Amino acid sequence: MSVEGEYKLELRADGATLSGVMRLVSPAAYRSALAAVHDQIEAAKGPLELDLAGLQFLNSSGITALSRLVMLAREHSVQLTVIIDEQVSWQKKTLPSLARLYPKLTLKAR
Amino acid sequence: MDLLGQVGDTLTPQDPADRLSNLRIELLPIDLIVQWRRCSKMADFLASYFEYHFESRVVAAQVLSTGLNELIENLAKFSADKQRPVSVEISHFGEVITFETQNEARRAEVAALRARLTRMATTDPEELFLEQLEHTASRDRAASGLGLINLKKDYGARLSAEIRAVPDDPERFHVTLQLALEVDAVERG
Repeated sequence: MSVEGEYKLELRADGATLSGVMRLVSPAAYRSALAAVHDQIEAAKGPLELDLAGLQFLNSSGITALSRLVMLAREHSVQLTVIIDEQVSWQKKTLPSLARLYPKLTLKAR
Repeated sequence: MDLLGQVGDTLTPQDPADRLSNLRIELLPIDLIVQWRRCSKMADFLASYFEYHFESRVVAAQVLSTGLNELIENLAKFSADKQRPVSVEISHFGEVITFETQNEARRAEVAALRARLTRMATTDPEELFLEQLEHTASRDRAASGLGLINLKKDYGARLSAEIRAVPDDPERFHVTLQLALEVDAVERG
């Protein structure tokens, strides 16, 4: 588990959970913060689950970083399920657009 | 200062006398650069100040904070002189809420903003969003303009910028960016 200020990243065998507020300064900052998730996708032997339901805010650099993870999953044909909370506005609005990048990405409401 | 151009959507002019509520703050970009979390804290503060106008306060605060955070981050990143004050003004007109930012930016950044707003005014925001994501993510670039596109796509934001010459400095321009949100869109989240 890593806790960096206002967000928390917890890794599991089958994925990761991101929670809190993630408004980092740049794509480079996200690359470093999400390196472990990147590695999980690259090494995945089966489906992965990314739980974002507790992530209250993500800025546009973060949306880019998330889309990189989706494209990495697409590149490696990893089945990716993203857990969302439909009460959180950005999740309800933005994540369905990200799902258009990769048909094997499934959004599941908590 | 001479007006060099107005780009983006055509916004319905609002009479300041019709404002239900208004707040203007001035800050130094350097403070935001030194401690990036100040962008988020300022956005949250301003959103919580205005959330009382809405029935769905929690949802409204989320939407307002999302929009304000993008604009404040842009002020920090794209202001030419980080020690020169920039401003954010929020006005509530009943059916519309507007955010207006003012700063000075360099020629390259102003050219990019003009191009972006011109394209945003005529292109489907969902398609533009996906195009921008593929572009920035695959080339490992910064999310140039993605925040503004996302606000248009997700909440129907309308955006316009006025660009004025800065006296005695041909490489700098004064930018007034205005973003308008329908109050209903903020309520729905």
